Amino acid sequence: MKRYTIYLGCMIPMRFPSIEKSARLVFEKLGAKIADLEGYTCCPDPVLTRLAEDEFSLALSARNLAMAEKMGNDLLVLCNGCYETLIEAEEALRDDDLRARVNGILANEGTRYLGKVKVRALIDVLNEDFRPGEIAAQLKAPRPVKVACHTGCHMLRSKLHPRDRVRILEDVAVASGAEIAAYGKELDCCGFPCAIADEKMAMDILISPKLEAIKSSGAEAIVTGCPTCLYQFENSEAALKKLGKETDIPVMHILELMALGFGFSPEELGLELHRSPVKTFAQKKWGDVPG
Amino acid sequence: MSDVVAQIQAALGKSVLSVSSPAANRWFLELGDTSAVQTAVEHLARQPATRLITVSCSDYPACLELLYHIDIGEGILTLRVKVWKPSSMNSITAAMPAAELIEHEITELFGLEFTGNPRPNNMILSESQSQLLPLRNRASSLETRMDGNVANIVEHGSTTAPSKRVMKSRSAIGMPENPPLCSVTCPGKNIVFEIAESSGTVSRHPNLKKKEGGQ
Repeated sequence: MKRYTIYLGCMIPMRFPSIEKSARLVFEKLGAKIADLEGYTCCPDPVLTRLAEDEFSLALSARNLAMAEKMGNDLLVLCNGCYETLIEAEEALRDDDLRARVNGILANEGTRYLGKVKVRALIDVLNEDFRPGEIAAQLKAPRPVKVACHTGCHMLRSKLHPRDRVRILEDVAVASGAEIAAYGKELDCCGFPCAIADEKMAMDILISPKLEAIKSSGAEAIVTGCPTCLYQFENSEAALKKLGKETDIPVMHILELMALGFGFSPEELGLELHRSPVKTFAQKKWGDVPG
Repeated sequence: MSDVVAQIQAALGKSVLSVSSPAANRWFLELGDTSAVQTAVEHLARQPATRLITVSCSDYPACLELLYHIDIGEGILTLRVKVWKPSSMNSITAAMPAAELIEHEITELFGLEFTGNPRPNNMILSESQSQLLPLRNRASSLETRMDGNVANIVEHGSTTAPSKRVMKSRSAIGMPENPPLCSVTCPGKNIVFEIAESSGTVSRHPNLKKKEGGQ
């Protein structure tokens, strides 16, 4: 049996519990055992905190990695941003001197990171350990859904070519029963980090053109592997609605799409915290699935 | 002191707030009013071997600072002037035509209008993007967000705490109300605060406080 220690991050459990629930159901269905990382902290976030306080950030990352290391499993990271923070910390802490310095900060707690944990992104685990074939084999409620995939920038900064990153997410979406809507702006940013500094610029240059392209592609929903991109899309749709530019596209996490395809009902997942019409969309498509 | 610089200083009188020369053949004149720039430039344009190099701009909370870098043959003279927001600036294109593109670039990127600049259209941004002002400094709001994030992590162990609505939703789908964060699983401890203290973060953020009873 495949075993993982799951890193939930902040955004998923505290804004989108339906993603956490979907993760638990999906991995159980795939025959994997997931263990919680009890007592974890924020990764910390790759945009603000790491820029503001690098040593504090590295120490928090090291603490999370050290706890995962003790548990012995690969660390399965559900959030793109957390993955970037933790994989970069893992790489930085291969340096013996730096690791010793950071371990000095953690010494009060009695925590020590040895540099032996394997940090893995959700989408890589799904693609490498289960393959689209194993995912498709679990489909109980496939529905004809045309989706636009958004990989997210944090996953694009990896050893793979960005196009391959997009393809992996699309492969998993297809294995989950979806059809892909190509829209030509797959690699464009959702605008989240830019919006922190300038919301209007993010809206005008990034998110608005991206949503328009997605709408024109005939996609019924956006599927992403990043909770922060999801949050950004949903908030931007709400902001655009106030300006009379209604897009109304449901924005789902890949795990939610998988869970619905695997036959879990919309009610079991608790989709009501989405700001975009995910719940209505799921009920329309999967409403007949018994809970 | 260069003769040209001395002449400019004399012509501008009390408009010159300070003169400095940090290196040989390098002079800075700080000007107290924007009209003094035009007077200086008109004077310089009459000198042989004078050339406008560029104009640079920096955004500060209450003003934009312009630096006119001018090659005066024997060295480089920079005229430094503050333009208090939201006022405009007089164009120097009549005396130095090369300023046309540079002034327009500043208009597009910083939003400072140059009265008398003859260039009608944008060069960098499309007309629909004219209000974006991409080089305006937004650091203050960014720093506030950064400080807020660090404070949240120190207090809760995370960037956010679950709202009652989220806790209710978690419970309704069969999950514990709170995720297994250190604030939940390590009661009575100040783990994150101690890490912040050891890494120097607390001293840089004096508002961070150790919480009674842990995170």
